Amino acid sequence: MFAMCLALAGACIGSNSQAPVNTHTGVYNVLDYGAKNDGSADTGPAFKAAIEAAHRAGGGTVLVPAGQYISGPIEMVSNLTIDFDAGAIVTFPAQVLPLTPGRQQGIETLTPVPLIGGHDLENVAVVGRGVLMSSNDDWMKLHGRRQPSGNDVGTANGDNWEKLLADLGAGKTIPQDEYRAAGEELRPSFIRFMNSKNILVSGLRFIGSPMWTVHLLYSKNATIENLVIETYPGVHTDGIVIDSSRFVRLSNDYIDTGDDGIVIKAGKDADGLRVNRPSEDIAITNCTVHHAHGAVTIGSETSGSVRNVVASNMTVVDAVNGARIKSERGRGGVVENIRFDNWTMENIEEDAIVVTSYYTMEGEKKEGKQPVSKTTPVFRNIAIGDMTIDGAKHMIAVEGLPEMPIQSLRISDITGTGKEGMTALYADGLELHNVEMNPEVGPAFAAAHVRNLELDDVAERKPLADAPVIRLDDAANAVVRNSRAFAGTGVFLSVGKKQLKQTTLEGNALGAARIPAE
Amino acid sequence: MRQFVVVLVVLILAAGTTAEVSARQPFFNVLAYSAKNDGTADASEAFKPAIKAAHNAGGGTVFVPAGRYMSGPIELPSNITLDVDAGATIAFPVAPVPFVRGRHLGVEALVPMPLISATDAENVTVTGRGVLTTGDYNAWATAYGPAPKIAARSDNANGPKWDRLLKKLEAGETATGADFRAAAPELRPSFLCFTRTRNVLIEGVRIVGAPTFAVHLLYSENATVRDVTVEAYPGPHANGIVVDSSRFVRIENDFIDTGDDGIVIKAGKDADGLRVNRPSEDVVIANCTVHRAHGAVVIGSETSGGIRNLTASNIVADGTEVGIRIKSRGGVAENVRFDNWTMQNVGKGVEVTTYYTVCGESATAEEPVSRGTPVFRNIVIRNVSIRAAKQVADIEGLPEMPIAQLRVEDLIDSGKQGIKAIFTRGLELHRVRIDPQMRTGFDMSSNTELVLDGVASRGRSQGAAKINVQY
Repeated sequence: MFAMCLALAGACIGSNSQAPVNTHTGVYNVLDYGAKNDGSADTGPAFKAAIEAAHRAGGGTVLVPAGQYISGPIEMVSNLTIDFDAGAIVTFPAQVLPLTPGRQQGIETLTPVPLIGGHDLENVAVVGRGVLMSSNDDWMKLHGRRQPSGNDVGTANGDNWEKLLADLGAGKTIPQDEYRAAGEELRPSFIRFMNSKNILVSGLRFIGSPMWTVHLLYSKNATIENLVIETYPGVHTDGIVIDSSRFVRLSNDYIDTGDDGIVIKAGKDADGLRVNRPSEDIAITNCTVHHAHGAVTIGSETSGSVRNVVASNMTVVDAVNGARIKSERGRGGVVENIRFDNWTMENIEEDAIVVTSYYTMEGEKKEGKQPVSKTTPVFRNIAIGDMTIDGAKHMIAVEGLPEMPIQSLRISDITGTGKEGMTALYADGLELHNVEMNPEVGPAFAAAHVRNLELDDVAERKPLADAPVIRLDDAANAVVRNSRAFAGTGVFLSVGKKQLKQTTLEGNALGAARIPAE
Repeated sequence: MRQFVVVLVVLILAAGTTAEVSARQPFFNVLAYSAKNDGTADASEAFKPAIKAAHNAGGGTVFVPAGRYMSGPIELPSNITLDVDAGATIAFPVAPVPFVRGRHLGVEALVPMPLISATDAENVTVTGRGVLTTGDYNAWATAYGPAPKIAARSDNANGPKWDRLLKKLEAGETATGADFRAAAPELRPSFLCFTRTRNVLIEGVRIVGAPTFAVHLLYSENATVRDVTVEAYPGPHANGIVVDSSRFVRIENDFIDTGDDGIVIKAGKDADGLRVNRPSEDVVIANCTVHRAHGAVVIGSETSGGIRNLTASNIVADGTEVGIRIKSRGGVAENVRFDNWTMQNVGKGVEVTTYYTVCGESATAEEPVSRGTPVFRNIVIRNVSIRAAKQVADIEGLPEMPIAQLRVEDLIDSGKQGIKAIFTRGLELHRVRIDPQMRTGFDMSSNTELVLDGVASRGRSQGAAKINVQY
């Protein structure tokens, strides 16, 4: 009889000790909500129950202690911190997901729900020293695509998505079914917060991602710090994407990915121009980036404009591009008031620094001057300085549109070695100050169709016998000053026919050159 | 029946152990100390024993779970972490608080007790994703009775008794205890204030509304303020983060949207500041975004104890009245570097002035140099892009004490007006490009040892000189 009573009491306490004890502490341990931490079952319902319990209490911390978990999407609520503790490994298998309004690659559409996140939230945090995993390959297979990893493969979505893009481009009204069909071809962002504010993502390690890893959409006031993102060579696994969002701070992140490392976007083409929301007020510092298409990229989806961005104290190794600012005809938007400062870059496959409003995909052809319209992207007031480039196929690439040159681009305090030096096409107010390029082939500094070019204290310390240090074609009002020729220089300055008198040379020391200018 | 009793006993025992267990753990949950988290009752009396229990255990984390708490001032002893969890809001009602010794706007005085404070302590942390909130400056005016009448054109914005105290101190007269006690009820408290405290960490919390300073480091050493959100716009005097005669301070990843200065370094005001004579020094500020504040990062105007060794880099300002502001009423400001900023929609991008006048004061002619003469030297402002300013930069020294060795380097700016500089010695502008919509790009007068190197102006105004230099 007594034993039975005890058993009964134990049962009472046992059943009570779940919800009440946790309400009491304000920390909601998912193990108390039926989560299995041996990887044997889907933890999704337990996460959901723990989050609901926290939500009922007005918020709190959901704790995921050490162990192996399998989970579907985790929907956040306001005033919630999810803490994936050290030793917790949560795997998100590829699966067909419910669709929700969102934005994919700059286009508003139905999208799969993110693996972690939500919309219209505030005071949300995803933190801890745990590991979040999802296989990019599995997601690609789920959608019947086997694109080569690590290369830019266009949209990497399916025919319905291509049709949606074409119809949007043609200004058609899109029926919901068409959005649904396109949405079903898409892969989710790993973490996405939409229309949310006061966001923190900190400390976590991501291994693999279906698509973009951390995606801030239409959000305000976010800190993304201390992350490790290992998604190389996953397709479209951009590391951190700031998408039409404001007041964002990134610091101390390590990113190793098969697409852009950190990227700032603002909508694409007709749909992006319709939405017309900028990304602005963004500070990025102290990150290390490995692989990646661009370590820090702005664009190419610039339709809503990108403004007021600083990125400093970065190291980049083995990336396709380092600092990359790109857009193209049709995008529109303004990219302005940008500063990249104090970087080192090593072994860059393509361009270490690239600023182009004339970005073309592989196979696209460039055409001549087009009329200017609201779909013409504008780049102005961009400063890139204090950088060391150790090995790149192309150290600096600048290219504007014939109808809209890049305006006021200042490149200063750079030393670089690589195959090609700087090339610039279609710019107005391009300035180089204290820039040393040591290319293996061609001129160190080549510019064509550039107005108001200033080359101030530029140098090629190891000149090439068969190439001039500077080559200018159609560069009206160019100034070359405070520069010197080093021993072994053949031609220092070479300009197009009858253009020498358009060029001002002042304060240069060109005695070491066989031909100072021709 | 007997069965029921046994069950009951076991249940009571079980319930009884909860508090004991939490008391033995390093976490001290305020709910275990009978705090109400439904906003119905003052939780101060629950916070106090929780903090005391942690303190008695040699320190620990006082955990504030989700819910709404009402509280009076919270005092933190050494080795305490106050963890305000996501979903927790601690609201501090506008109500009289006790008076303590402190410093108000650079003057040592009897002040209302800060809402969260540590004094003469070490290893103190306020963390978590919760919200700390209270009324703004105007709401707090009535904390001790009807709002004091503030004379028009007064610069202190507190009240007549505070005004009288300031005048007495300025005149070198001895202020009595009665003077300080009379002035105290005209003041508002700082929100979080750490006084003579070492190893301070404030992280993650969201501060909504502030009576005056939101985060105030006073006479403290070794502090980090990071990932903090301050939303106090348009609160008057609600400076976001104030480093006040403190050393070894790191400020990073903060978002500040306020009606006064965003991040500001101070070191005492006028006669009292010179008497105390404690500098603010060794401060690094990085990666912050600032919205609407008076100045995004500010030095002064209370500089009497001296300000030196400061860097502020990778900062973004949007809609602030001024971006970088250095202003003074006395003392030395030196060895200061601002690097890699962008700002947009600002009033003045950069303001450096030892000739700071508040409304009602008028600028005067040359005065003799004295201890009260502010000195600015060795200041570098570089790698700054400014978009859509009313005026790009305004630099103004005193006739008797020009601003010395100010180097402005690598600016790309656009605005209605360009740079104006008056009374400087050794001002250098390197690679400064200003595109003003009207008037002169560079308007320089009464400058000695001026260097203009690689400057450019692409102003659209017809007829105005690009560069105007007068001696």
